[in-house]
Amino acid sequence: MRKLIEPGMYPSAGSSPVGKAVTHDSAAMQVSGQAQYVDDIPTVPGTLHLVLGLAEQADAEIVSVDLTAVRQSPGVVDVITLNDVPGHKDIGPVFPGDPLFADGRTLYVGQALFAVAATSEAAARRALASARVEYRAGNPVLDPVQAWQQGLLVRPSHVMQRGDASAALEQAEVVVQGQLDIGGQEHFYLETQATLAIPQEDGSLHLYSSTQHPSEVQKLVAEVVGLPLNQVAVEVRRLGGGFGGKETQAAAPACMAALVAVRTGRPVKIRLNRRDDMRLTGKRHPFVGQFRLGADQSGRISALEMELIGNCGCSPDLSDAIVDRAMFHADNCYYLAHARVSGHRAFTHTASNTAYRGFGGPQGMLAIEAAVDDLARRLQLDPYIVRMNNLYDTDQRNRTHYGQELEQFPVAEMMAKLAEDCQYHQRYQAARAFNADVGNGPLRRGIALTPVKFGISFTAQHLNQAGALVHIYTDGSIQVNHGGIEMGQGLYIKMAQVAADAFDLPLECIRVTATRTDKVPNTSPTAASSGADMNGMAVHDACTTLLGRLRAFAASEFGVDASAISFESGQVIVGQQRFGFAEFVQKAYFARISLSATGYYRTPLIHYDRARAEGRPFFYFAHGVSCSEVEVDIETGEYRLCQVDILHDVGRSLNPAIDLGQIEGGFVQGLGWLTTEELVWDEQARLRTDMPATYKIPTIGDIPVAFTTRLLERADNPANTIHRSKAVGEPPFMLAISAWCALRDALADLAPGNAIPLSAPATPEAVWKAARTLQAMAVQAQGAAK
Amino acid sequence: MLDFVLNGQAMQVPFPEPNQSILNWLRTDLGLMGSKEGCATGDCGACTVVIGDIQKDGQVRYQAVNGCITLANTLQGRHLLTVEGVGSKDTLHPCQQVMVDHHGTQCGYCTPGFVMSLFAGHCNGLDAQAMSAALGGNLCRCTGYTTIRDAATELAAKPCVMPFDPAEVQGALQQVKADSAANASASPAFVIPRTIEQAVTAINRYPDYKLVAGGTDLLVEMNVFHRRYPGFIWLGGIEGMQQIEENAEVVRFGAGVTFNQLMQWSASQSAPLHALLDRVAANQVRNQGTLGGNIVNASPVGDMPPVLLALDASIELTSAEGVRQMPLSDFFLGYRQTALQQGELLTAVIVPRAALARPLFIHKISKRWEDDIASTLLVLSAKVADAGRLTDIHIGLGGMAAIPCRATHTEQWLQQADVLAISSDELLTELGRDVQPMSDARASAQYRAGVTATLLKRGLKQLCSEVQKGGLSHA
Ligand SMILES: Cc1cc2nc3c(=O)[nH]c(=O)nc-3n(C[C@H](O)[C@H](O)[C@H](O)COP(=O)(O)OP(=O)(O)OC[C@H]3O[C@@H](n4cnc5c(N)ncnc54)[C@H](O)[C@@H]3O)c2cc1C
Ligand code: FES
Ligand code: FES
Repeated sequence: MRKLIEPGMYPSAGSSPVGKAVTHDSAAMQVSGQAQYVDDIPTVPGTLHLVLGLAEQADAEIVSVDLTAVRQSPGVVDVITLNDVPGHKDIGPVFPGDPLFADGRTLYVGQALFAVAATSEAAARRALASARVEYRAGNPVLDPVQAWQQGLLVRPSHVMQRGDASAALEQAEVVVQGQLDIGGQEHFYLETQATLAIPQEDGSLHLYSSTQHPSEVQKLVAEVVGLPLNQVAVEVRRLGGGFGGKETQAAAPACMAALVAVRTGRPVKIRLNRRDDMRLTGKRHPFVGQFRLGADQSGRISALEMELIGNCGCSPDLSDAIVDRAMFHADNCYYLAHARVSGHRAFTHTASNTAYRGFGGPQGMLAIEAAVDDLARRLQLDPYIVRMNNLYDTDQRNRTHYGQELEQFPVAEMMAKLAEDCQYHQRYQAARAFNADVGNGPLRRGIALTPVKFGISFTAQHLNQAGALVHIYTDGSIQVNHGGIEMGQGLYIKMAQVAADAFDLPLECIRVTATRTDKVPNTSPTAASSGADMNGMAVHDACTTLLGRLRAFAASEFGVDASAISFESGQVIVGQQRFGFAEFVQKAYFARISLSATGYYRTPLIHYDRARAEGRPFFYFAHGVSCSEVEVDIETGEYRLCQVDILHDVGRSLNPAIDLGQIEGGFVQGLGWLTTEELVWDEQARLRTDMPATYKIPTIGDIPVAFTTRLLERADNPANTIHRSKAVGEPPFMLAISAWCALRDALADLAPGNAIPLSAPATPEAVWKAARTLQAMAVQAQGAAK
Repeated sequence: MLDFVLNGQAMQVPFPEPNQSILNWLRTDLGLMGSKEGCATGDCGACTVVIGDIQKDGQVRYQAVNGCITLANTLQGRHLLTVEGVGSKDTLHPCQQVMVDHHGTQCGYCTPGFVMSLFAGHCNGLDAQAMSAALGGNLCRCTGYTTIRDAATELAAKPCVMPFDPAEVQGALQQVKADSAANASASPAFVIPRTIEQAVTAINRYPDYKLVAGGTDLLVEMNVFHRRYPGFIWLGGIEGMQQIEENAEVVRFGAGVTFNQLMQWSASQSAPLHALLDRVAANQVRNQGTLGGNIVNASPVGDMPPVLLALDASIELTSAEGVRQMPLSDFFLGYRQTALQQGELLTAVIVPRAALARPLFIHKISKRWEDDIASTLLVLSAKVADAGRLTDIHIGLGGMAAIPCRATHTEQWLQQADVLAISSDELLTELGRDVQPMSDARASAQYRAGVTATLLKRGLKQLCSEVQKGGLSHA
């Protein structure tokens, strides 16, 4: 540059934007339809559209695949199967097991058999119809418990234990024993999987992919097409929702598109339609939890034995870590003096289940909450009291069953506070009175207040690292780049806030640009709620480096002490002198100071010895409590959520508006998982709920108007995170457990003293069945009494 | 050429390919990427656009519809408003601004659809509660809806502003109407009859063209199974089929009457029917889906047939040979099979006043409260004799058999019974003689049968004693 832009004076920043309820950076673009997603990127003429041929049978031998007519169909340019893959044919993210296309035998209904590239999506779909595939039927396995018992596992089982649970159970005054079926969950990100692959002049590839893990897409694409990593760039501006569903599941479509792009030299777009997406991609793991919980007559727990059987589907994918996380959360907030928690990874002939918000944590937590609820019912105690009575503290009862010590545990106070704020105790009694009143006919009320403790960090240690790249331009504007993915959770605005705060500049001076593997390399997935924590620290690190350089320059240029230099309200103060930020940056530029820096962060302190199942896998914990009240029609099983109150711990919030959005959105997604979202497979292993017509996520009418969410006041994070904030992506999901427990509470008066036979999801039908079972038990008990 | 108004601008463009939906056409032919595809089956609302129709009085009436299940050629002579026409990021319309101000966007993929639903609600003057209710067909996976509801509430208190010149649009639409009346230029593959006679002629002339009304069943099928047709005969232009006419003996519903029209009518006529219609699909689909389509589609889980069966409805079928009437109960022959013959059009549904005068009980069970298909639907219509006895008992069932049907055996059995003393177990047995439900993804056979018996008992009791208790109100 010969001549620089006239340095304008930025308006003074006032106070730091950190902690302010700043609007999502894309909001105005989103409401006007201008925000671009992969499918919206303008394509050049000649771009090909890829659609997939999916298997119609599970565990079937593929006798023959005749694609002649497909190839001859008008508009078709290329057709690929596994045989056309020049490089790696298996794209398993950690362990093998995920062939890009079916390999001789189908694993599940919906597995990709082949892909058709045509000049339009319509042409490709038309061609699909003429494929002839002949199968020899197999014997699909669908029941995870049966699979486990037969040793059909995708990964070995694992045990976490402390003390002697079985001995303690022998001695316990009360033992409740039960089995809980926990349903899976379709991610139902509104934007389906999509990639646009564009071959470059030198044979390299540029991909726009809707993925939470661009570096892994880069790696897998490179392996599949046989290119070094530096020849593949992946770019992601935003996702239309991810929730874990685009952590590994984005890779297959991306690899297919990349392969056809290489073969044809033309840009290739793949965008799954909803049904294909629901059939092809993995979901939240259904689990079966079997437990024995021992306690004394007061409800104080002494021991837990739990088998957690995760239905992993047809391959390992991330199931090792997911089942581990379920096991890590089998304590939720309760101190277990003696515990033996076993995790099993069952194989079934369904799509390979994968990451989904909470990553197994919700399933482990639901299992223990069911057990605690059963215990309370047995003892005919208010479950709140049993929960309260068993919480961890930071004193004696402060070590988890995997040996991590709790430095901070505000849950008892949070439960008490929320109970008071939302009048839990009065409403609990009112529900009892309501249920005793015959005038209310078939209606029953239930209420529950449940806690959440959720561990923050990837349990795969090496993933706990992040990078950033920050440029200062000569007009004083700043561009921030980092390895995290914006999927609606407000990561970009939080990163802009961090950078603006570091320089004390207004937010408008900061622009966060699309995440690209050629800007910040070797990134971790944006997952495990870690996005803001890790990338925030990396951005902060880059800013610190730049500030250091500018300070050093100021000190030497103006001969002042470093302590006399500060960056305040858009200005640089150097001893007695003040410069506009841009003006000062220009001086630095002319003095040949580098105005671009990378930042890096690795989470400290964490360690975990899996062989001994002991260590500190989590940097810290996030906490929340919620209270839900429901009304149930026991004759039909229909119900209505009447009121929700939430108190959640986000540490020192980076952005309360964004955090509240995560909390409420997480709750409602969890509510869907536990109520109306039911995955149904038939005996031939076909998913019958593969469209939104049959798979029902919550609508606006499911959400009560009486919905109050508060952030924990004076909250803090004992761990040194970015501005002492806490991760907020996943933990609130589990707040919805209170709604599920409230449904159980509504049924509790039907047969006092009995566990509520209600699994998840609690569809109206499931509630109806549970009510009938309880009513039959009550009749039986009456008969016995006579 | 397709003559229409796009975002306030009169346009003449080549006819869209007849099978193309508005959404697909916007995105692939017009390059307008604001409207999103989340499902292509009418369930998510990400594709919501607003269509304006000029009324007899010259006013333009705006309605939200799902672009993914509306054929593009239906835009002939209409005003299409997409998110791009509502406001850009630097000139946001109030319905966009409230979404920004209340943090109603996260990933943003659902957002354009919400904006369009809000816009339609806003220019139709909905209050805060109605505005939220009109969002039942817009799914958001991120926000949990609380912020969007706040946005809707604030919007409802604001005056409506049009992001275009209403007079200009009105003029343009009137012009197109006059032009097309003059030279009736429509796409040869997309026939838009204006009268029943024209429709009947078209059916005979183009026997391989598909009849389409609201398209809310047909396009779902086309999109999911990639079905294509050589051409269409769209019934949406026949005003004569969109009327509800009443006299002392009967109410005559045109087959083209939409769910939302029915809802308006039922508001003052039948509270149970109104409550049911509130749970038929969601606003966008209710704006398009027709009574005729619901019947001809002959789905065992359609909501209107069980009601109409319980109300002794008959239907009117029109062809070149003339008009024939039959009881609706004769129309459903088997799973998705009807008595409709090639060349025939369902033109009206006729309900006797006497049947409408009978007390009515309706209960729909579905997994999700809003916008869900019935697992089972029970309709009971009967006369209350003295001493808590019922006569003239009509039971309509949905989701219980391969066709919507009446429980004729149970009806007879009940004539003899003391309805207040019957147990639901007895009803279960008797209903079992009428129907044997199936298990599927929505519900098990056991639940369907059990809950229907319970509901029948509840209905009998309610009609007898006029007790309005029991059941949840979801408001
Ligand atoms: C998201 C969604 C939710 C839904 N929810 C519900 C629900 O809750 N309850 C419910 O009952 N339905 C529901 N439906 C189904 C659908 O909306 C209704 O069945 C509707 O009434 C169909 O009417 P239509 O005018 O759109 O039919 P179209 O799709 O236009 O036509 C359906 C069939 O009927 C034929 N046809 C239409 N009109 C005539 C006529 N006058 N004469 C002869 N043949 C004709 C067509 O050729 C076609 O074969 C839902 C649909 C969607 C997409
Ligand atoms: S795309 Fe989902 S309703 Fe149209
Ligand atoms: S904001 Fe993501 S679906 Fe609504």
